[in-house]
Amino acid sequence: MSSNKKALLKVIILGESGQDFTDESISFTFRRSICSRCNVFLNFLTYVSKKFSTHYKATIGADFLTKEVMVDDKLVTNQIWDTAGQERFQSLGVAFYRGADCCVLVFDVNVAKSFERIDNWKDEFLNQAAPANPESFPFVLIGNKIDLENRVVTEKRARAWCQANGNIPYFETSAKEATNVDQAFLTIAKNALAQDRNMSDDIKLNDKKIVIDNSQPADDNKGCNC
Amino acid sequence: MRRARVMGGRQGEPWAAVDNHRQHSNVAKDKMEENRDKWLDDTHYDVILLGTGMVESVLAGAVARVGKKILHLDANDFYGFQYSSFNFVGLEELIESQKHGEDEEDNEWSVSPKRGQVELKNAESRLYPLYKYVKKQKTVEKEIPSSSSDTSHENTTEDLNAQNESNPTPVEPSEKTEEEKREEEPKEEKKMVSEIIEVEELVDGNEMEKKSRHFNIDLSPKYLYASGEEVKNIVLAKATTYLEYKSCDAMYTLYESRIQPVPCSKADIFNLKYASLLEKRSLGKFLEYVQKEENLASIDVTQPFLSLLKSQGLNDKLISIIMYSITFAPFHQNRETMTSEEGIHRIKLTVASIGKYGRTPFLVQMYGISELPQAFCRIAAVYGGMYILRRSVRKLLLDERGDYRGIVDTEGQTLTSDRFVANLSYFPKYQKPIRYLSRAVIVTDRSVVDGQENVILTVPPKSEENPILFMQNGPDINVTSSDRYIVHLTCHSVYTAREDLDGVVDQFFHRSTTEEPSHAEKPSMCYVAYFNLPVYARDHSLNLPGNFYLTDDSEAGGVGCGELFRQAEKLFHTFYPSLPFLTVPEEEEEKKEEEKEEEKKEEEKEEQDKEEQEKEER
Repeated sequence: MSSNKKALLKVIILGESGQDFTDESISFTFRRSICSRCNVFLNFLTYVSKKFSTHYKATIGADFLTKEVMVDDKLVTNQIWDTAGQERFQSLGVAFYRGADCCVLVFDVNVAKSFERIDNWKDEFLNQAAPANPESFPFVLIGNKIDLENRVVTEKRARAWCQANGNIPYFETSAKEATNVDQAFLTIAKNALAQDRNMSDDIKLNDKKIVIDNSQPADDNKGCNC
Repeated sequence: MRRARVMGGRQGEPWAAVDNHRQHSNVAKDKMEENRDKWLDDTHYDVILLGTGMVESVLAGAVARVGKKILHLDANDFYGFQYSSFNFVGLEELIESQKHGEDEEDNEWSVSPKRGQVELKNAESRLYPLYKYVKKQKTVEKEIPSSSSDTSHENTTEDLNAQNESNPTPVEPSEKTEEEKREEEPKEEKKMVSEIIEVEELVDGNEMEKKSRHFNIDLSPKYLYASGEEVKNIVLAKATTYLEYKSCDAMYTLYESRIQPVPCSKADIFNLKYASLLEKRSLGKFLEYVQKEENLASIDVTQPFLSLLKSQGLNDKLISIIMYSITFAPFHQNRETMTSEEGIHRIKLTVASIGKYGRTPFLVQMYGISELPQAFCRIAAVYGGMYILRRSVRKLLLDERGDYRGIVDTEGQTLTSDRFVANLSYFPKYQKPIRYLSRAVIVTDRSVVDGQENVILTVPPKSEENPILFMQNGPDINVTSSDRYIVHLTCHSVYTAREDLDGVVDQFFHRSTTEEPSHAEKPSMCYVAYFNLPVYARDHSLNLPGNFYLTDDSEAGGVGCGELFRQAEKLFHTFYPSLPFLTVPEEEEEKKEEEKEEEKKEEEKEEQDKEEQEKEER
């Protein structure tokens, strides 16, 4: 893998926390605050764990999920961060947005309000994350829960919004079947990588970063023998 | 909860009961109705925390980590309280907002809504211009003769270019061409052609506002000891996924008004230019001496560290190096009363931290120190913690025995919890008279030490003043714009921040006033802000109600933040003596791993199935 490209992408998911899960089998598996989280996180979770199971318990404490995709023969790891419920009272700290490579905006196709707030989320992201090139920063819009029957936001309306906001890619997903999630991830990775190429200077700045953990070799330059 | 009494704080009798009429006044009721949509579904928690400072945030992370239900509130609209970081515009707004604030007194039954908000005293700031020449492309309308030769015109362009090279004063090429035009008008058959030429223009390159977002300016700057409590716990909590660091490049001290290096190794000691051979030897000897356990037996560790240093035959110069630049202790505690035990502990900490991640003992937080409390808040949120900024406590509810039972929050909802933890700033009645830190934030055009980005420099006091801590951060840790350096000065206040620090500011930096590029030997300032930051200290003579706990900033003004982590750990163990701090019990971890493995297996299976299906389809 070439060293000047990030193989790891931070993808953050923003959107209305919306209503609680309607699907009994899911809510059963997720304890307390999970209902306040982005539902798409659940989709991805379902997708990543490749099942629609009743015995998946690790959500509380699931910090981010990873999904690997191949882009031009390169293995790219998408690190997907959700808001951990901190968005519910508009209490997301600026640290959450740091170093995001792509922002996924999510709304519930059955809740008009959630679509209307997408603009706010996009502005909030650009304001907090302050990316170097706000005009070309990669966003993806996802219309969620298309499997339910009381749909109010049409695909046409969503696509019109995307067009008006600089041709943002649009996908529709459902929690039942991980519809379109594959394509969404591939697009996310491709767009984020393209953005990365334009910002190679920024990456160079960060080359002396220290990763602190126990595996760090502490021996070289072991200083003061005084 | 009906029987709980509303409590509040009259000095000396802080939890006096008040009559119920006030509690249920109609005004309050109306307000409650209004805000019902902001109410929480859950009304009981294991722990409610108030304030997102360092100690509260770490504690929140630890409590949520072991599966307890928490609610975490903060009166501010940002995380970190005293440990928050601001972009340039944010800091300016904060400073501006302090100018109109009036002190609201807490009355006997409630917590003033102003409590817990960041409060700066004597805040002022100033921008300085930074003139520089900028190459700009200008479009110039020119006439080019249709005939092949026109020497006069060529000469003018050459003149223009020559002028640009030799004399950098701004030129007005458009005017010139107009003159040319007039001159050349009588001549026939000229074509108008626009040409782009490069000119140098003198502009103010300050640009602080324009680049506001690149700045992350700490209210209380901190470096982390590589082998300290803080780093140990960050690793333990697996907060490393959110936090990025760089190594502090170098340590300096101000000796006889000159910047001198502080030794980080034996070799460094013997390369010191400002110490005699004898001094180097006794410094090396002392540092070696206190590190050996067997030597410590013969030392009375309760005696003041200062007397120990003196008894070891160290002179004032060496005492100053050890005190300020190796223990760093006098920045947050009294130099005179500091014990030998503390002094020796801090020498060991410094020595153990050197070489762990770099040549100095310190790690520098990327994006500013507020990342640290935010990381622990995120951990708490990931483990189910509920987070609400811009929300505080209006009243506290106590039971008949005077123990804490619950709160009424600022939206009027009554919430109960087993325990309540608050930053001391919310409860003035438990505070000692407030002390202050004097702070200056300076943005400069270059580093104080050529080639170094992140440095720590100590300014020992000349006589009665307090020592000043000088931290410079470069653009590589994403706290300033790409061509700027940011310097934090911190000391305990004697007078106002400006009075305490102006001397050092002038000593190190040039204040540009003229409309020309600075050729000063010192870095030029383009911005300076002064403010006094309150340090809240607990008055331990007053007992707290049961289940009610306060956190204070025991390490304010100091370099590291290990004390703050220790405070959080201590509180955690008071709550849950048998549960692990910031980690999960091993069993749970094992279970998780098992689950993961199972999933992997199933995943593989499914993939195989898929492949087979695809094959079949083909």
